[in-house]
Amino acid sequence: MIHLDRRTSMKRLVDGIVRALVVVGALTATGASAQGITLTIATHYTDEQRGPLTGCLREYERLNPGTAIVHRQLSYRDFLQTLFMSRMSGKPPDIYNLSTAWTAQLVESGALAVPPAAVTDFVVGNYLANTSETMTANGHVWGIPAEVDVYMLIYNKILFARAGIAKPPTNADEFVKDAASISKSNRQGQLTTAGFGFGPSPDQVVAPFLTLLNSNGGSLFSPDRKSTNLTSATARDALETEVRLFTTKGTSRGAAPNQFSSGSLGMMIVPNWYQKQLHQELGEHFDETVGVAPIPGGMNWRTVQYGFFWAVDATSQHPAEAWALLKWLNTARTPGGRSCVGDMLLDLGALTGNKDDLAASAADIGNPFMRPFVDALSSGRALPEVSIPHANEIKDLLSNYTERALLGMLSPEQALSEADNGIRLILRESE
Amino acid sequence: MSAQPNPNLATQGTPGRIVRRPWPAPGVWLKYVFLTVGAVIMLVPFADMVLGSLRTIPERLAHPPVYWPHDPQWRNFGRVFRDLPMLRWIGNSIIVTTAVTGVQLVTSAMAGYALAKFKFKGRDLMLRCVLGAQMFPFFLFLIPMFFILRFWPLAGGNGLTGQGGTGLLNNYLALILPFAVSWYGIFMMRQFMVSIPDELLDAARVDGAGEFRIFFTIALPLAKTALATLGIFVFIYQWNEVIWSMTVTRIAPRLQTVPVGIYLIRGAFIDERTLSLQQASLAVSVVPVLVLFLMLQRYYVRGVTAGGVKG
Amino acid sequence: MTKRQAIPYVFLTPVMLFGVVFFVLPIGFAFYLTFTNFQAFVPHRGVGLLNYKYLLARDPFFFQTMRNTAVFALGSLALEIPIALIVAYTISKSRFRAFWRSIYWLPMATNVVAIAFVWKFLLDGPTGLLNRILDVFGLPGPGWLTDPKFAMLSVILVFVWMTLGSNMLLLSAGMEGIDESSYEAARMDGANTFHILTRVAIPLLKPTLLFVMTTDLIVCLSSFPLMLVLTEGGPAQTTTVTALYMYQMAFANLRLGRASAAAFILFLLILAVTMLQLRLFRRGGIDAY
Repeated sequence: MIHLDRRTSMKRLVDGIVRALVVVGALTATGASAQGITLTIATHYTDEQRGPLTGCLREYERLNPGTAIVHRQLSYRDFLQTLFMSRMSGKPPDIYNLSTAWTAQLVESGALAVPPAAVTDFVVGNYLANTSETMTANGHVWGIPAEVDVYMLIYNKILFARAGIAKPPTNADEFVKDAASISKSNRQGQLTTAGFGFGPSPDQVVAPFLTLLNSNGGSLFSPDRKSTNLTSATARDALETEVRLFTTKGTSRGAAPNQFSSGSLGMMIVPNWYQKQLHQELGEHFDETVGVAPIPGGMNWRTVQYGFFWAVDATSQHPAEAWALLKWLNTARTPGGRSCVGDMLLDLGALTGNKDDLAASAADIGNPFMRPFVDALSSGRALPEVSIPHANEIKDLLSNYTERALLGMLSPEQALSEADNGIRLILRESE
Repeated sequence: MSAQPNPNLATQGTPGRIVRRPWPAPGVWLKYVFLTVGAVIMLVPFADMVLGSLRTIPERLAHPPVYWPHDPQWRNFGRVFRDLPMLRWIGNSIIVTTAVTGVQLVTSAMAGYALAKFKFKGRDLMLRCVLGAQMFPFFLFLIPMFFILRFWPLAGGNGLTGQGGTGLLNNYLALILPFAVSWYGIFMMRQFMVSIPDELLDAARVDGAGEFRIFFTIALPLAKTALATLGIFVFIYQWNEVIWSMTVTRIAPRLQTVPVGIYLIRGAFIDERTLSLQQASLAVSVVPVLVLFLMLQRYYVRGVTAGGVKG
Repeated sequence: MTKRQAIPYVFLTPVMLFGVVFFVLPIGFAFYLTFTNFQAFVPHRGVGLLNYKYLLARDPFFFQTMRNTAVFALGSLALEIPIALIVAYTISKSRFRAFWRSIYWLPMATNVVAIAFVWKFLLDGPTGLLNRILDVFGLPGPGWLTDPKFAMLSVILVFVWMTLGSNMLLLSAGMEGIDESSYEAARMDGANTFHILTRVAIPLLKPTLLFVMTTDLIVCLSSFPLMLVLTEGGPAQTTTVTALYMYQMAFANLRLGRASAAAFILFLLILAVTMLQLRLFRRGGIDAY
């Protein structure tokens, strides 16, 4: 009796395990789509930002029955790590919108598909040369250029007038002095109005420093990209200017570009795509509030430009379809009109290297806000970010050390020499 | 204490009169003042979150920003469900949390029962392993667990060698399996099962009941309270789990749970125009668990008493 | 082996399988990774002890994150245990105990993402509620999350707020076990509330207190989600604890080999501290675990 009973219980348990395994199997069975292909696009644009693009993707699906397009938004900060983990997981997206700073690293590791000759020709024929340079490596242009951005000084005209300052600063000393005279603190010692401000992310911390560095005639990396110029006097001057902003209470670590529209920020060094946000937040007060000026780095001021490009994953099952889609998205839809990507970028307040898009956007880029950005780009004052392996890690490191100097934890010399050490270590390792 | 204190006396009576009903000793009311101040500190952040979710954009962009929303934007809570994949996140959270809770209860009860009610070779060693395993912090498992799920044989298009597909990574199991067993849960159930009298089990054995029937019909019903407690523990913990879910579902957005979804989409809340929406989504992520907890808190408190301290 | 003897093993089968696949295997694999230069997009190879050497000899931040970890853990423990003790004691002497306990426990039922974002708003320099309140009383308010001198303190305070409930509940449970007559006896001897707490309640609570201290210390030394969301380790890495540093190394800089080595170093440290702690307790006559 007991035996029998135990055996049935045993059997029940085995049954249970088998059933559980079947459920596991059913859960894991990938729902293989019946027919047609699915292209996955990964970008960092939010739903709102890529509104014009979404319409185009739906249209493309209508024009090409059997092709479904899925978009995946990834936070810019998480982009590279997500890309890596997707590739690890064996099912990466087909199409990426990538920062040009990552080109070297991604190409070196074989993550990107080589574009067909037709696409390369398309890029060479239709894009400004300096936008495709940063995505060229090992003799290939690794995709289609997309968003281009330039950093400039944006200032609040009302706050400047209130502080009795007639024009935006043109050199470091004026920059520091103006910021200090615009700042206002409350009785707790917090800046309720800051003369200058930058955001919390490593990119945002490093950008003002790099523009000042470039203006002094410096550059972050040595020409051979094996070491940095951070221990030079120009780098020290650039960082010291920023430190002075802190010591004269012209800025504090909490002052960020988000506060510009509320009138709590006098100046910020930000890219052109802030235009859309400022327009939406300021509405009719935009023109009387927002001014754009060169980087306050003297007569020979320089700035930084950065960009993105469309690329296809090396393991994509449908590279031909992916490139076809990308080409369609980047081709003017009507003669003299703009491409889908152009629509999205200009709606964002971003720039592009696409000649047709630029030609069709005279109104968008000719306004007083955009004009200085476009000029900086075309005059060659905007120096492209160098593409280098471990670009993100290097930027994090540089941001960590500049922040230490800004907060008074290290002297500028110390911070820069430590950053130089750390970056050289990374550069040497990736040889 | 016979008569209720007269509220009028307390508030407006003349000093001469009050002498007869003096304030209770400071020790009596001071502790309520203390607890109330503490309670306010515990609750204000939640209130601040709800207030934040109701602010308009102009209120946020005022200089200085307006604290109290004058025109409460309740529709932000509608937007949470329209503009964000909140329903999918909640669905995922429910699926994963329920599954983990169920599986953990089963594994904990079975193992706890065996460790408490049987004498067998290696029992003490196993018990020590269960205790020792709790000392291993979770961060140690983050990296290798990812690989194990990725190269799981015969799943997600993988072959026998674990190559070719995505393994379990694109699958709810990626969020469930790593939590299938809780060492703490086993220990807690074992502590409880020890108190089940052996005579009860032996009597059933004499009556001819099989071991599994004894487990299911005698041991489990007796452990109902402990199971309920463990269940709530696990449910709340799992609902709020972020690190592992975030690491895995970064690449599988359709599997994201509520807190993970809100965190990973933080790039969409970059400016003052979207912060109210962010705070509304946070409120939505918090409320269901709080309600559940308040409904079941009796079990929870009892559970801490039962399983927390082992003398 | 007879069937009777096999029964407990059958009950333990799921747990043993799990132990092999999700415990032994991962730890073994992680240990293997520490001897490779495994990183994103690059084919990996064995590098011997290089990862350990790098972390212990060259890494400019590793020891700073260790110090941050120690400050965070000790600071949190020093604050949360006395506070939890006082709250638990006060509640045990009050009416509506369930009500009070629920309120103090609410943050424990809240996800860390919500907690971190909510406190980000509360602790904002010029506009956060905390500084607004301090200002009402004419008090100065620092940039809680942006001033390197205050950031770690802020993280500790939020962590204490967040975990107070669980400690309070554990200590409450211990207090329920104290016989009311012990208090009575002390009261008869004319002891005041403070003396009752320190001379009667705390000695009787010793096993619970030590249990709470041991588990809290492990949690504090290995916890990082709060910093990940609240400060991302900033400003200037003043709130980067080692576990967070390891996470960033692995999943932001994609250096999985080096990060595994960091994880093992931290784990060994936690293990050593815990062992030491248990030993001290045992010498003090207490078997907490």
